[in-house]
Amino acid sequence: MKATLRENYRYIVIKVISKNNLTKEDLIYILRNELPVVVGKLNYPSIMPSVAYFDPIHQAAVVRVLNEGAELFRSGLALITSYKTENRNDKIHLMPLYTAGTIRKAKERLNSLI
Amino acid sequence: MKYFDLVDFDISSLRFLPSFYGFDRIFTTKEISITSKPTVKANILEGNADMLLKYYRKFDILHIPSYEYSLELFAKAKEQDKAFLVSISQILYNPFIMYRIKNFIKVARHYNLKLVFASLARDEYSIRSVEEAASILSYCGLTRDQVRYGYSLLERYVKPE
Repeated sequence: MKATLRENYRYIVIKVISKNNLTKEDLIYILRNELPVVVGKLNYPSIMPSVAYFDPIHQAAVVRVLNEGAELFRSGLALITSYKTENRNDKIHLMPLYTAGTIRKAKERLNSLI
Repeated sequence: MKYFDLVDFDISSLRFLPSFYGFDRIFTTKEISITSKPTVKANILEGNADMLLKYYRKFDILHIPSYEYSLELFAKAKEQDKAFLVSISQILYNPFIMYRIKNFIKVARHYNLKLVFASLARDEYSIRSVEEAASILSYCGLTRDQVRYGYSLLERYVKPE
C-alpha cells in the first residue's frame, strides 16, 4: 500500500492508577466502554485504541491509537474518572506519560519511566 | 517554571509524589483556605458574582463555582490585581460546565485577568497533571503554555500558612 494511504499510529504509554490492580481485559473494557462516553461515538473511530502491551506488575500499558486521534485520546483519558463492570465500580486515573511513534520506543520508555 | 496544585483532601495518603504529576508542591485546603463566608479569613473566596463584588478586596483569589461572569467584577478585579480560580475537578465531575468555563475564560482573557488553575481534587484519582489539564482546557480555548502559566501562579498569589 502507498505510504500516503497507510494508517499512521502512535503508541501512548499510560499509567493506571486505581485501588485494585487491573488486568489487560479490564483496560480493554474501559477503552471500549468508558472512552466513547467521554469522546463521543462519532469521534471514537478516529482514535480506535487497542492495547499493544500491558504490564500487570507496574500497572502500565502501551496503547496504539490512530495518529489523527492521539490528542483526542489524551484528552479523553484525562476525563475518565471511574469505570463500571458487573462486579466492580471503581475510581480510576489513566495517566498518559509518553507518546512514541514505534512500539519499541514506547516499551523502552515504559521501562524507564516506571 | 514551577507548578503548584491545590487539592481538597489529606495528601498524606497519596501514593505518588507531587513530582509524579509534574508539580513542585501540592497544597491542601488546610494550607490555602477556601471559604464561601466573606467574614472568615481565608485566601480564596468562592461564591456568586454579587457576593464577590462586595468582598473581593479582602481575598487573594476569587472563585465563581458556577462560572457566571460579571463584567463589573472583572473590571474591579483587574484594578486590584486579583486572580480567578478555575477548578479542573468540576469539569471531571460535570463535563457540561465546560461551556460556561469556556465563556468565562474568553471574557477573563479579554480583560487580561490572571487565571489560576488547580484541580481541587477530592481524592487522588481526580488529580490531573499539568499536561492532562492542558489537554482538557485546549477545548476551552487555551494553549498549553497558557495553562502551564496558570498552574505556576498559585504560590505567587497566595502565601500558604
